[in-house]
Amino acid sequence: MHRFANPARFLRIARVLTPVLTVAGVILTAAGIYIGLFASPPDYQQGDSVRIMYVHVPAAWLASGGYLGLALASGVALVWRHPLATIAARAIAPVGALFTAICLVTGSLWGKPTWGTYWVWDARLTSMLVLLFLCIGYLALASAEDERGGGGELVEGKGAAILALVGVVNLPIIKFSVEWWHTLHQGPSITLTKSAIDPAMLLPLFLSLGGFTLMFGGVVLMRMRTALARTRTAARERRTAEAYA
Amino acid sequence: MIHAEFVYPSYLLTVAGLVGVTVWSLIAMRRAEAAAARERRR
Repeated sequence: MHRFANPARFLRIARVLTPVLTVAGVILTAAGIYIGLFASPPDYQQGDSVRIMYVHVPAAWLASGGYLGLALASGVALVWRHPLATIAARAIAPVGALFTAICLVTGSLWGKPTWGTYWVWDARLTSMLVLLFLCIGYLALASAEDERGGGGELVEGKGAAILALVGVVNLPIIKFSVEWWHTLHQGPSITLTKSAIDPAMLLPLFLSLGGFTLMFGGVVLMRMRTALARTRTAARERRTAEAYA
Repeated sequence: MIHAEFVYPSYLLTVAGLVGVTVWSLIAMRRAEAAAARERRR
């Protein structure tokens, strides 16, 4: 892992991967959306509102997966103090927050025709809302730490990283909330060993999941490259200013 | 389509979010890397 944590080596790999992940992600997402909207059958109980699942479920998976990535990067930044890990955490947080927000809003739009209400204080919904607050809290703390450093150059503050690690406790709560409590939200339809979903519905679901994941990766790489470029610019400006001082 | 008033806004919001974050990140990356290249040439 340390071999890839070298910024120069990372940039060489990221320059190749960024367009590949983004373009492949856009293609898979477009296919998933087209099939999800127009070429998949309606559900015998939910009717056409089942189509919302093809964007809601991948967004939910990426919200949790993104937060796990944020926490892992924060853990690496705290233990090994590697700046690239801090940059990765900073890059993941807003994208994870976006997917969490998409998950909450699309879930709410699915809830109205299915449950008769946009929102209930159900364990799954509430724990997802807490995840969004954790992402926003991380972004606020990270922004405050960066401002303290004067902007541009990276500040290795611990507060945001500790918040990200503490927030990991929410992930098993999200996952098992539908089993631990009697929730309005249904239990898992797909596990590692079996699926309760018809194959005609699995295709748009997995296309969207693959597309969203690749786009997530592409956008995180773009944001990491942005942070690295800004750090390099700030460092050069500082050295130039010191030379003329 | 039945429930179109819920299905289409869900897709619209998702696509807007994905396109928005991708374009925003791409523009920010291009600008930052161009600024870094200018600074290196100085």
